[in-house]
Amino acid sequence: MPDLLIVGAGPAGLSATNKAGQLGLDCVVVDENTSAGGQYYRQPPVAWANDRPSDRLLRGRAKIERATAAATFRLGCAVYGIDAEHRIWLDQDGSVERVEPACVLLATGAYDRPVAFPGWTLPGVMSAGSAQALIKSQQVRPGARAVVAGSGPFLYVVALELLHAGVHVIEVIEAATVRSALPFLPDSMRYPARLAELVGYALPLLRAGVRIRRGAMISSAGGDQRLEEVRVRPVRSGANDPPLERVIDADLLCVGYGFAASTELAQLAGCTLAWDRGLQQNVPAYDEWQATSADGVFVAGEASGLGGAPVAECEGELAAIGVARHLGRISDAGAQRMAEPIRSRLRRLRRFASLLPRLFPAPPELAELARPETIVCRCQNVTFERALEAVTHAGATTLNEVKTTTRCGMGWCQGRICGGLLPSLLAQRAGTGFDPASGFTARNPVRPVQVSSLAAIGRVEPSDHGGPGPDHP
Amino acid sequence: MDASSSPQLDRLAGPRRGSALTIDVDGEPIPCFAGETIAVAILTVRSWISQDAVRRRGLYCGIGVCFECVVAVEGVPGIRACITLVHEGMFVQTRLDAEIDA
Amino acid sequence: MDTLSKSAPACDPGQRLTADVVVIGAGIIGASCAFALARAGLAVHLVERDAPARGTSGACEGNLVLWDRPTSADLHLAMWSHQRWAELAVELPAQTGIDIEYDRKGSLMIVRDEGDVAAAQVKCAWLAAEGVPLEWLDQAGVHAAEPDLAPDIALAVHFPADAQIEPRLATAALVSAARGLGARIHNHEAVLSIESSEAATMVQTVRHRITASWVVVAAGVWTPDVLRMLGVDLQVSARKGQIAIVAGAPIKVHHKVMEASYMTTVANDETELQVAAVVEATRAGSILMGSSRLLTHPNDRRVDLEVVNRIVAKGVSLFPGLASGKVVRSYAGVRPLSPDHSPIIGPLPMAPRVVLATGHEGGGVMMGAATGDLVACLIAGRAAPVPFEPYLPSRFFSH
Repeated sequence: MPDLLIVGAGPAGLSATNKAGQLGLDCVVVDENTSAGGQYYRQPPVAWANDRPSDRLLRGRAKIERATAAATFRLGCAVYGIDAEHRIWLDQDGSVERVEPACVLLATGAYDRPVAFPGWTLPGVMSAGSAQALIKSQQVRPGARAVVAGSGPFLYVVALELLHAGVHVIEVIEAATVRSALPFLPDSMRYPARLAELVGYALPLLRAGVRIRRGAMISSAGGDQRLEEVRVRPVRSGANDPPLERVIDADLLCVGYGFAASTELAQLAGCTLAWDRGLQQNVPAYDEWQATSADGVFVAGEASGLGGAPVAECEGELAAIGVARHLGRISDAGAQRMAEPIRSRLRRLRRFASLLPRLFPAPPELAELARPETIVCRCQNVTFERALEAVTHAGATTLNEVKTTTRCGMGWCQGRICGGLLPSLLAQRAGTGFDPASGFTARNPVRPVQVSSLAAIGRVEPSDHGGPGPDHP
Repeated sequence: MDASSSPQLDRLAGPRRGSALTIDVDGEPIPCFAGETIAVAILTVRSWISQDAVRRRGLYCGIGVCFECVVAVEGVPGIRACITLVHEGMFVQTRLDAEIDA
Repeated sequence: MDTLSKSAPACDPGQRLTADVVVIGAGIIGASCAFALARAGLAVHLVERDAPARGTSGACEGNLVLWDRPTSADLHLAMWSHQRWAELAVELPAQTGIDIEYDRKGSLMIVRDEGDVAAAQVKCAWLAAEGVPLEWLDQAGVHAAEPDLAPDIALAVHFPADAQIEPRLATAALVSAARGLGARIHNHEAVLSIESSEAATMVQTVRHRITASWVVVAAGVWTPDVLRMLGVDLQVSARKGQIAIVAGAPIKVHHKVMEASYMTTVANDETELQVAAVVEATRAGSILMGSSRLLTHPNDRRVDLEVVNRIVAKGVSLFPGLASGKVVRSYAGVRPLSPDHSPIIGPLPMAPRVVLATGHEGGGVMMGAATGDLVACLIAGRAAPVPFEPYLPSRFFSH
């Protein structure tokens, strides 16, 4: 069994792998994507020739090549379960197996925070990350006429990538304003290089004629079975006025109002969670070695709080050092020596990262958008009206209670989407004591897994105790 | 082809793709390339990936989290079209009707 | 009588309240007791430390099945309850607007092993004598009833009266109906202490001090914790059962389909893991696969994936077509098991104003409707359609 199993081959996971390799750890990396890199270093298929690869793509490729030499990679492989002893269940194309690594690093990343507005289930409306993935890994143009709506630097990154892919980017709808950012500008000025980076995304957009609307947000999406028009409105409007809407013809709407961390494996491993202000959700708490409260379970990258790829990479390296120290492969003093330069870099990176959610907050007005008939649980097509009734009629105060009477969170995605949007939506719209920090209880299996695969190893006689081990076919 | 069904995606000219192949989507042949996902193959010929009893579904998160794009492949349900690669002769079913409920 | 809704202003800490009855626990049993007591005209406070059906009742299949009852006492209560559910399936939606998804789909007991035939015959003779409708099905009959069953299955017993409800919705409907009859519902309000005298009881919660003539303890596997507040020691064991939910399997399951060995797992005192196949469809279109039994501690709700493997393997042996579906979820519930496998309903001998309603193990939904009525009869001093004696807690305190 390996010393370390790393879940997620993004920036955090890859950095951890490379560091773990240097430290001589026997390491396995698992990712359900078919190529390594995560969202940040997302790669086209290896066999596809590309005459003009981007710098980031080349950096990512080099990093992946190094990591591949340092560890066993299992791509296209889903972790469908983990328990409090951090035994891990893997599903590779229907072949399931249990592994018991000495330590686990959860580098499961984050995804675009879902926001429910009228029309958000129409084909053509997608997360900003989805459009980015289509361009980066599949080399396609995700639409002809696009609106990019949300808040924060990621919007401009995606808008620019769309532009380079030949999409007509009509507008970027940014919720933040200069005024809302003003209180944080003095702090931000201490990071001129990072600010220049942000400006570097916006300038080419402006030069290409893309309008950037600040203080505006999505209102609704419309169309006959696919996106045809996007309605936008000012974030704030007069107390009694209906918001002034504008209509934009588009066949692609990319939405990015911040991120949600993937924490279900950490929950099931028994990690203590703590409230994260930037993410507005509970994430695993960790110490100076990226160790969680669960013995042998480490966390790095966006899964434990927003920071961006540079932060994730530092955390990944620290976690690998922490694992080697935990396993007694290096001395505490040696570990401290290795960790110190990484930590000082990390401190500075984190200070800037912590400014971003304050510069670009997701506006609370987003909770005004859902109408009674708007779907909130996409898997089960549960409407907002039904979820709201669970609170106002049945008296639910937590997300688990809403699930009890509505089937929200009982579909294929196991509540990752409605679980990400309902707490704040219900807390604001139900006008009662609904808990905005509540979430669904994570349960194994965290990914759907084929019945035939499980049945093949479950066929044992009651006298065979202890269940099937990983050696079973 | 009416506006509601015209393709969502088209392929960029630059990169050389994998070998040409054909998948079967609800009995219709769809041409595509090795290395592409099921989602890309389908969305280069129409605007949606699948259809349940209530609505047409496209890509939402696009990175394997939301299961919006699930289809059945060779009869196996719950396959995420956004992260599953095509192979020659792959049989994909996109009418979900009763399958989604759980 | 006023009712407490979520939007009402919070009461002061320690506010004093009075009631006829305080019911502790808003699972299916507590909800049914609160409803039956409120319907009998009593002032009821239902106190729940979490929210309705968040414990065992929210993690079960909603079986209204008679043939798995291990004792006559269970069966008699279950038969009365069966009748009550049929009535409640009409009354509750009318009163509350909540559809409890009552479905009289019937159940099939699959008799596959030679060894099970004799036991099934004995069991069925007893059930028939007690008045449970049943019919034996041969190979053709079995496959006419369930065409997707494994072809080698050649013998089954059909129980046409068996039914299913959605247990979470049923609990919600009972709570809502009780509230409509004037009961006050205190969710997220843990009980800190209980006092009981010959004349009255007092329940101190985190927010209220409620004086009442009676306390009903319907705390399931947590009943021993509540009784310890009274200095009373009573064994109620926690037996964990897991369920796996399958989507996308191209089969139809019309009945509740269970292996005959299921009744053995219900009735015995085995401490090791036991698995028997139970397969059924839900109204939403997914398929539930059970069942497992394992003695554990009351707060062990963890899904054990190795147990899921066992359950799934058994289910596939009944319905091979399940193999191409996917397990999308699994959950576990801890069922309250009494020392003699029959429910514990009635006053504590040492504190007669404290009435227990627990120990139904996997039959809580089945026997829940009648349990509420039985408790209401006890407290109101009325006769009931079944004798009280077999359920009384005094049977565990004879010395």
